[in-house]
Formats: sequence, C-alpha cells, structure tokens
Amino acid sequence: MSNPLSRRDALRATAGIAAVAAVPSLAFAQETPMWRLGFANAPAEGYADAAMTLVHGRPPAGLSGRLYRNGPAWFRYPDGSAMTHWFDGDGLIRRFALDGGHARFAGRFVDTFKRRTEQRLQRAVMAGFGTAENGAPRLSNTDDTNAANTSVLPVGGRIWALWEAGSPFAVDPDTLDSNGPITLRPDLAHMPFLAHPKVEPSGRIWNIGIHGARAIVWRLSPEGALEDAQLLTLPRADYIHDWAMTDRHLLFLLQPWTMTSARPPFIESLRWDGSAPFIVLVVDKDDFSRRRTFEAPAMAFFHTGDAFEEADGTIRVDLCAFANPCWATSHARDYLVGANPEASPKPELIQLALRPNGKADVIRSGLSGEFPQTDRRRQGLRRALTAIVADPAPNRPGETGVALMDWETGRQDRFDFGQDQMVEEMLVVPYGPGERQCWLVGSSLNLKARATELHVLDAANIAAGPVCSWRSRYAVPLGFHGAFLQR
Amino acid sequence: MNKTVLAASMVLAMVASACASAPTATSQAHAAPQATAPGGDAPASLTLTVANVRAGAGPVMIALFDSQAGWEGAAASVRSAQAAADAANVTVRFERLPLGTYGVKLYQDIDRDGRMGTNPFGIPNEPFGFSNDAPVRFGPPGWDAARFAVTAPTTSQTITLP
Repeated sequence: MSNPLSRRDALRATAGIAAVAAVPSLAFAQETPMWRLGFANAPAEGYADAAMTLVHGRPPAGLSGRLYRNGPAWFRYPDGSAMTHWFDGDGLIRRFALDGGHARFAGRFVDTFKRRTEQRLQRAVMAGFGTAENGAPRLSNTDDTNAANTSVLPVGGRIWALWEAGSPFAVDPDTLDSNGPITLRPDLAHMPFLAHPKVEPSGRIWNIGIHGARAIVWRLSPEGALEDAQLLTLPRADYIHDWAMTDRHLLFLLQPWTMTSARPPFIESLRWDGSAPFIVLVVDKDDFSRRRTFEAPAMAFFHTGDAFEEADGTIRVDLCAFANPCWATSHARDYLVGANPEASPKPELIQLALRPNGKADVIRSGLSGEFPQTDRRRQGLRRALTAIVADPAPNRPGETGVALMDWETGRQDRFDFGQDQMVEEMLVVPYGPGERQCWLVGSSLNLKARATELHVLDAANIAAGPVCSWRSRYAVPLGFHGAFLQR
Repeated sequence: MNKTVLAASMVLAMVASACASAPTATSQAHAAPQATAPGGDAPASLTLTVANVRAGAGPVMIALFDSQAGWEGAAASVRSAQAAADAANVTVRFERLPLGTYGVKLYQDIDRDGRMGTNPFGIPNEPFGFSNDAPVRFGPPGWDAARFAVTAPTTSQTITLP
C-alpha cells in the first residue's frame, strides 16, 4: 500500500489504544481522520508501475492514452520539520496508462534541488509559498526552491513538470526520470513559467510568468522551442496562479490580493482588499501595446476555465471564484496539520462577460467547486461546456462530485461519488467532434478503500456516473493538475 | 506554487550588482602586489580555490574586501582578480596582504560579457559565491557570515560555485 509507515503507525497506535482498553475505537477514527491520507507523504521512491483493478463498469473501446498528473506528495520529515502549506510539498508525477481496457499506475518524485537537499538532510529547510526558510544551504535563484509540483505539460515527446515561480522540469514520459530544469533561452534562465500554459488548436503554446507587477509572456512552438518572449507591466502586483486566452487576446485576471513586501513566506506578504476591484487586463496577442481593462467586484480565484470571443466582441471567461482568499491562507495550511477547518469556503463557478462597452457582467452558475476544465481542442474558441470537481464535502477537505455546466442552455449535469471519495481534477478527453462527445477522465482518493481510483464518465450522461472505474493498490496523496495524452 | 522567490530575486539582484561591479573594475590575471602591510607586520598571502567552475566558459571574477563598509558597497574592493576557467577547480593567490579580516565575492562570467548576468526580473543566471561558502538566503550573506581572518604566512579559502 502507499503509506506503509503511516499504516504501520496507525496499527501501532490502535494497538496501544486497545491495550489501554478504556478508549473506544471510535476515538482513534476521530483523531486520525481518513482524509489525512490525501495530505500524507508518498513513499520516497514513488510508486512502482502496477496494474489497476477494474472495479466498475466496462472500459470504453478506443480510450487509450496516458493521464499524467502532478501534485505535492512529500511534506514531513522524521525530526518534526515540515512544509507548512499544501502548496509546498514535493512534486510527484502520477501516470495512469490506459491501453486496451487495462489501466496501470506509476509515480515518481521530480528530482528538484529542493527535494534532493531536503532528502539528504532529512529535514524541511527550503522556503515556499507558505513555508518559512529554515536553514536552507542555498537560495540563489528561483529554481533552488522549485517544487515542480503543480501541473504537467506534454511537449516535444517529454513531460514538463510545472511550478509557477521558476522553470519547468523535464521528465521522461516512460521512465518518469527527471532531466533538470529547462532553460528556454540562456538570458531567461530561472524566469517564472506558470503551471497553466494555454495551447492553441494549432499546437502553439502560450504561457505567462509573474514577478510583482511585471509579467513575461512566453510563446513556444508545439515542440516546445521558444518563439518569443516579451515583458509587460500589469496594473497591480497581484497573486496570479492562472490566466486565460482567446484566439486573439491574452487575459490577465487581477484579484485584489496584492504583494506588499518581499519577504517569505510569500503568502504572508499578500494583502486582501475586498474594497478594491477585480481587474481584467486584455492584451492583443499581436500587439502588446493594445490593452483594455475591465473591472468587476472583488473576488479571489485560482483557476480559470477558458475564454473565447463572440461576434459582437464580448469576451467570456469562466473561473471558480471565492469571496476571499482565506482558503489559501488558512485552510490549505490546516490540511497539513490535520486540522479540519470548519465551514470550508465554497468557490462558485462563474462566467465573466467582458462587453464591448467596457462593462463586465458576472454570470453565476450556482455550482460550487474547483478545477474547471474544458475541451482543449477548443482552447480560446467558442464552447458551451465547463466541467468542475463539484460539491465541497461538508465535514472535511475536498469535493465529492463532478458537474458539467452548459453556459448556453443553463443545463447542469452532476454526479456525486459520495462522502467516501475525494474527487480530483476531471479532464475532458474527446471521442467525437461534438462538445458532449467527450469522456471526463479523472482520479479520486477512495477513503473507504484507502486507494486511489481512476474514473471515466461520459459527458453525454454525467448523471449515470462512471462508465468504468479502476482501483490502484496505492492511496496516493491528492494532486493538483494533469494532462491527458491520447493515443 | 510559490512566488516566494520573487522576494529572493529582488535581493539577489543586489548580489549581482555588488559582485559585478568590483571585479570588472580590473582585469588582472592575478592579484598584483599592493601596499606592504602597515605597522610592520609581515604580509600574508591568501590562496583562494574556486570549485565547481564550468571549465571552458568565461572567467571567474573575484573581489576581495577588508571591511564591512566595503562589503556593503560603501567602499571599493581592496583587490580584484580574474581567473581563467581552465578546470573545475581554479586557484588564485593574493600576495602581500596586510593581516586582517577579509571577505570574497565572486561569480563566473560564463558569457564573458564583463558583468554578472541576470534575467529580466533581476534573478542571477551566472554562478556566484561568497567566502566561507556563506549561504545565500533571499539575499547576499552579511559581512559577519562571510568574513575570515588572514594570518601569516598563508591562509586558504575554498568557495564552491553552485
């Protein structure tokens, strides 16, 4: 199983409780909630490639490929030192391989300077988003603290493990061996590269990197070669994790959560101003001097769905909006110490309509959830559907369901996996030209089975639940984002 | 998910400028003999070894300081040197130094442009280091972390580039 140590510790702990004999077994269950599996250390060596077991349904014919996912999977050392924010764990690449109705799972940590240093010292020393530096031997550039833990980009026959404040890391798609940080041009070494690149239908890759109120815009060929890099200045030095792009414009979405000092942990320097507007900076892809700004009421967010333009010039972009950033400043810290924050904030899937007259309308879906996904064949182009991981669990971190929003008809399709499941990002994998001719493919952590599962749902009938599900022999910590490479 | 290092980079930009300015002022292959030690002390020598040099790339640019003021940029370096990157380990000898307390800043000028390179956001992209291998943590090490005593007749110091 994935966490032999913690399992053993758990057994030892329960044995101790039994010896005392006065404590009901329920007490242990309450003290060590199962959801903590989602924030546990993975085995240092990762997970050996192993077959998954089909536990439900029939795998659809024609679905084959590789789902690569990334996410933090190492947080604590035996001396008690630890990363103190979920975002700071070491990146582990998870690979789900689907071939001929069979599924396999494997996982390897990305070999970063941060991880190598801390594993050698057996101590958490590097600074992070919400973790203070604690005796780091060296912090000489952004990549020294690069956790490579946020997403993946399949490009040029390799996998790039993405973070946001430093370089992508190259990973071999077959062996999952790390090949170090990628320098796209020598003078641009260690420049930030967000974990949410946008890929045009042509295959051309766009991404941004943020440094206070300054941004770099990366443009790469489909093979990952640098075509262009330009700098621009933003209206405010806000925290930016994700952005959006239409076929003609880049969208910088600026929440009023602004950097006020330059000392780590970075999260300590961010100040929320709920009275300040949410600003959208729209930049022409062909001429960065052509800029427009829109304002909307204050909201916090991490993730956008996607953006597109209509004939009258209206730009639509969806995102999962929080009332404020307290999820990041407190909840994502509490998860690591096992605290169960009360009243988890419920982000809502919304759509911003940026009108030609300069106004921004907020269109609410009423759906609560995160990790918005769209059909990547339509990146930047008109589409109706957005998938999210839906329904935050009432009594623990994470979501239990999936929902598909149709913005044109208002139709909402939902499926609830139940309270035993922590559902992870669901990717849109097309099987036909229509927008609903897609599978949703994503994983979950089944707390009852103590195992990570992989599910396939049909976008044409979400309410029916998974077409099929496989179960791995491991309980893998929760990840963030992934990409599906169809074969 | 960190922009932590944004903080680091701003301060590191200062490292870059501090380190870049002094060594580029001269281009001596070796530190030239300078003033004899004041007060009649026998002058000492410092043997500086730079490890993990990218052999074949541009030279290692070295600045030697003898005071906190100099270290913090309020005074010039007392010596500077430039060492060809012939091998992974490069040695430079400073002769006839007055006894005292010193600190070293250096970087390898990989692209031979005579300045310490930074990316557009001010983050150094050429290797650099300090005496005592004083760690860089969101900024250059202070004088107290980097200073060392030079005593007669010889003193050695090794700085390992990252």
